[in-house]
Amino acid sequence: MSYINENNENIFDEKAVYGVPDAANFLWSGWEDARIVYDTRSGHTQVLNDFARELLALYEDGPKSLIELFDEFAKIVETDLDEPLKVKIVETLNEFDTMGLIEPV
Amino acid sequence: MPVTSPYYNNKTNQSYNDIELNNRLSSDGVAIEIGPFCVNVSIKFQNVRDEFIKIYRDFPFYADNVVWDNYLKLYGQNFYRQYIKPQAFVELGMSNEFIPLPASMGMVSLEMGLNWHVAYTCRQYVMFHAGVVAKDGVGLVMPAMSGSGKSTLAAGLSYRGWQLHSDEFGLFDVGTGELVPYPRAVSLKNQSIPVMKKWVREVDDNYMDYFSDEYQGTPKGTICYMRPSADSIKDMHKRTKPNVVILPVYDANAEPAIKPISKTMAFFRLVMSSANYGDVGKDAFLSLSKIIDDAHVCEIIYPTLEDAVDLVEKFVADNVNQNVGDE
Amino acid sequence: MNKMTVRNNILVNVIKNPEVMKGLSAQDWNRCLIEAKLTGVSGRLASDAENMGITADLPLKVQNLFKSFSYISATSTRKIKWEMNRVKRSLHGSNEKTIILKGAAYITKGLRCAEGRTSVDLDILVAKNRIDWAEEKFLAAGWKHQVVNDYDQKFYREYSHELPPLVHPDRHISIDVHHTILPVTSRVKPDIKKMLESAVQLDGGFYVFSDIDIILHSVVHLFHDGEIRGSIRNLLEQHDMYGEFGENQQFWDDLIPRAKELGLTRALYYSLKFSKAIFDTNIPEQVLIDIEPYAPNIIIDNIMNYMVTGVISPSFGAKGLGRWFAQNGLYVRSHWLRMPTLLLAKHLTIKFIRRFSDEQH
Repeated sequence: MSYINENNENIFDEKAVYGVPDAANFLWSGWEDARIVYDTRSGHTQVLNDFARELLALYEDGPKSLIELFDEFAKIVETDLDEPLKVKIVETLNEFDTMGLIEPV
Repeated sequence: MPVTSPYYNNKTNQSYNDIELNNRLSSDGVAIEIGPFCVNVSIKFQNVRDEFIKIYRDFPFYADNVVWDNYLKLYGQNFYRQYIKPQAFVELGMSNEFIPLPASMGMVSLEMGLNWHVAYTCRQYVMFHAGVVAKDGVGLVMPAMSGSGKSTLAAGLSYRGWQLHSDEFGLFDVGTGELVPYPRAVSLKNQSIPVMKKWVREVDDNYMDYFSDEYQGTPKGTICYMRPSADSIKDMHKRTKPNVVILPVYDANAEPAIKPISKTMAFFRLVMSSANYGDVGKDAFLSLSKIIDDAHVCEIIYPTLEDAVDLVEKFVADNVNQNVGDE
Repeated sequence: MNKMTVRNNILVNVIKNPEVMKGLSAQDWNRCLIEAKLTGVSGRLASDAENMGITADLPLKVQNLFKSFSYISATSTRKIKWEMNRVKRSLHGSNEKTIILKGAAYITKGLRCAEGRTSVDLDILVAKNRIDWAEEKFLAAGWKHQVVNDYDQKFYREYSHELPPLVHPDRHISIDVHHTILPVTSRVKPDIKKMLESAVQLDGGFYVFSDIDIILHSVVHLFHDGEIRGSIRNLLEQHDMYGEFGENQQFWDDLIPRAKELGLTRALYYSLKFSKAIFDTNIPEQVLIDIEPYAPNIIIDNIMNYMVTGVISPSFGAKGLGRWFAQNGLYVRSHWLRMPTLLLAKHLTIKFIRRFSDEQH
């Protein structure tokens, strides 16, 4: 199974493995309401909310497929992921991919 | 001596009278030191030299014994453009696309040329499009879009006891964590011109000496240049660490107010105001993060310059001084 | 060749021997820095000083400027590397041989000439029959055509050796996708297949030309394709590579035969000759003798001497900056080398008409 975006493109295959090339490339700052990440490779600065930060942290732990990511995320939030949440996750991962925070392994 | 003209070690600046300055400006040029930058300026139009000398005569000048950041030549490109229908062309030692202005507006070209030099070549400092002032260990950065009145506010504060760093080029030294003054002439536009003239008149009867002619019909409307206060020029190598970030919002109809904002918001406003954030890269990110970590941040909304100055001083008094006392 | 003007050039002296920086007067510095800025080698001066450990001995203002230059070249390098990363991502899953050229190749190979260098675009090369495929991939990944004017698009597609430049709106680095190293209309037609065959793969998946082909590409770019005015930077990169690759005698043995094979001996002649004359490059005597038969006739040789030394850096010319800013001759000349005359006339005429009609608006 895979996820389709609004342009009908297959954006994330469930079995494809993605990872953070090297978490040492990320520099972090942030305050009460958000985390800010600077990627030393791209030079881009991005703001992440807690949800996005958690997802990126899972990839910083090691490369994984979407199925594996869903499993681990479900354990953290201690509930089964419903379809809207899964779609939200995939959209966020797609953003990560576009910005180069994660890459296919 | 506070930090640090790069030239104080082994060179002394020349003390030129107006006539000598005029002669040098009209021939090989003369190097003027403004904050951390030194530019060799030559001007082929008498009216522009007169204005330049009026505004900048109190700055340090050097003959040919210093390394410049750049040179700037203002001249007519040919006989016709020099004498018949004079037009001021700016040369900055790099390809540029300045539209020449009539020589009567040469001062505007010159100021734009100096801006252009800093905006496009400065990477050794993180640069904010911001008004920056300092007083008694308070380093205040006011990042803002054009039209927020930050120039007027910075200039206004500088004639009420604050040191003017710059009305639109805030510079930050990554290595030392300090704001670097760059007290160029303040560029006043349209309605802010009478406001500032009145403001300076309240502290000096001879106030017109601080202002250039008013240049009408420029791309930004009417422009007038104002000399920084004598103390700001004298202290142009005196640096301060930034510890207050205020986002100024001018609204003629608003009640004056101080509004809290999140540090994340202040951080991104600072990033957006920085012309060279992406070019300095990692060090800029680390610097801005540190600035916001250390700074007290807020937004002020103000209808008049008096209100703005009051709000700034109140916010600073309520926050910074108290904390300094605690430490 | 007018050797005096070259010898007395401060910038060249500084590049040849960075220790010279320690003895420069303020006036020398002002001349040297303006020239370095105009020719795009400021970053090189900063990295030379750093490598020699002499930065702290220089005037404070120079140290301050060098800090700025270092940021500029470091950022340029980061952007090129990141653009390569994005190219790699957009081509993910395919095994096409994608060659990185010029600055990107120097950076990835860690060559001396990449230090302190700035690049504004990323050049890559794919086989001609894969160029539409590559364009599709890039457009799908968000790159946009920089040239939207129909005439310019047509010019690129029909007569040039590359796609119209593509730019990603988030990143502002232009990527030029080539399928050969000279315009298809050029009278010199190096066999790109041979260059592709000897390309080598680097870590990270991209290919680069062999060392000799990298130099020949730079040479061709300078003496056939590019603008010679102010291109001391390009000659300098050749000088650097002669030094770096030339440590291996095999490189010298193979250089001229390879240039012959690809039909690039005339350009190589100019490169060796001017690199030697200007930077005193360490080139084996035998190589200089062997390249001599490929010199042009004496008249052209003299004209080239005069023009190249006159415009390759602004102060080489007798009248200094004035001549520099006025000089256009060599650009037209290198255009002339690149396209048959009739085509050139057409190109210039249409450019002229367009510019003229733009001004009317």
